[in-house]
Amino acid sequence: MLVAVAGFGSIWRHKFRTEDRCGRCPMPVYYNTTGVLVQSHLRQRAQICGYARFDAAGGFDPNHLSRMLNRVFDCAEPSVWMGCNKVLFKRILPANEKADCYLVLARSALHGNILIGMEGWRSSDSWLLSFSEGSGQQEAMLLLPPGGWIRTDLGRLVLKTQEQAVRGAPLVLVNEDSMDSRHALS
Amino acid sequence: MNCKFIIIGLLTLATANARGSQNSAPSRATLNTKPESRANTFSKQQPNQRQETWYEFMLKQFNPENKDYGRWIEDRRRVFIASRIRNPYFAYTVCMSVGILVVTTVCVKLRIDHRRAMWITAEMMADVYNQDAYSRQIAHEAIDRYNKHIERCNRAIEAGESSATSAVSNEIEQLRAELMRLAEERDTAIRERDLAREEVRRKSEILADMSVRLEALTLKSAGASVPNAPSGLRGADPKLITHINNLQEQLYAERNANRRLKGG
Repeated sequence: MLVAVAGFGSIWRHKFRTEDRCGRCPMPVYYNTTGVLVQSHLRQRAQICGYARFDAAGGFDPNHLSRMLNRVFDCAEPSVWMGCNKVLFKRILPANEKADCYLVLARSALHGNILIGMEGWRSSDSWLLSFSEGSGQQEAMLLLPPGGWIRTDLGRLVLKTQEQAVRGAPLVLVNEDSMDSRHALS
Repeated sequence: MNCKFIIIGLLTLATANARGSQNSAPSRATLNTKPESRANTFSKQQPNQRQETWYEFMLKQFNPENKDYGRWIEDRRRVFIASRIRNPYFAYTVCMSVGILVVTTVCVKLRIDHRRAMWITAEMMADVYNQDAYSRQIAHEAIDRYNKHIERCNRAIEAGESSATSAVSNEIEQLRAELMRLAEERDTAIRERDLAREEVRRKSEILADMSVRLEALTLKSAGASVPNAPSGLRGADPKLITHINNLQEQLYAERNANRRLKGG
């Protein structure tokens, strides 16, 4: 599965693995998930637990996240591990690859309150990876195909890919209920 | 008398010692000179008796003058130490060279770190600038829409003021009828919403029941086929993963509903 990264969650964790039996030092692993600000501190407050895993060995560079945006990754199929949803981003692909779906972040401050749990709140071919809620804020990490949509209290937000992606905002969620308003995913 | 005898005795002893020493000196000299004279006489007697070994011959080929290179190196070393290492200028120069090298290394390292930090800062600033530009664009669009709306309102107000007051009563009647129609539509929508809620509740109950059955069946099949299966669902069916995803959302919705009912 080829996934393009349209945004990253607020919380990052890493794991620097120790040397293996041969004395080689494996590359670190980074985990990205959703979080909300609680009293000026980022907390996970996971209502639906999940994370995206990035391997530094696959070309992921945590020091230049802006360069990782809009890039297409070769990913494993979504799975459930220890009660948490998981997507493994195995390796980065050349720039001209076409993605099957997009890793999208939806935040209540930008897109309105997400109506999770209501019938038809998202397109059937999408997948909710992680969801955090707390202090009146929401953040959701989803895998959406091109044309996929979610529903918030502002209306239905459709994922549209742009031909010429602007750096940092390659995707536009169009609120179809009120045609003029637009919300960008970053 | 006694003194005279003593003096005479001492003089006798002194002369005897002097003679003894004169006799013994030549004898020692002869003793010392004896081996040399013997060797000389031996060598003179046997000049070609001791032949050189092959390695002595080879060494002579390399060092025909029989120069002591060890001594020569030692002398040069002493001269070098005396003239260079013990020279205070030499120590000063070495210290200065090492110091300059260290300072140069530190400067290069600082410059590289600074450049790296500047790159990262530039990237962050570019991101912030893009976000700012986008926010300004959205704000301008919103302001334009608001201005257009206010313009339309103003025109409507102006038109209302200029129109005749006789049409007001007809308009009120029309609005009242419209209001009645909207109230009926609202009641219908509320009824439909309640029915839909009831249906959703029934469906969720059925789904929960099915999920329990599915879990029991999964456990049973897992227990029967693979006794030591892992707790995760790494290689699970995508449909099952989707089903789990839906169940997670429903669980979240149910928790929220419970919280609302409890008044939380």
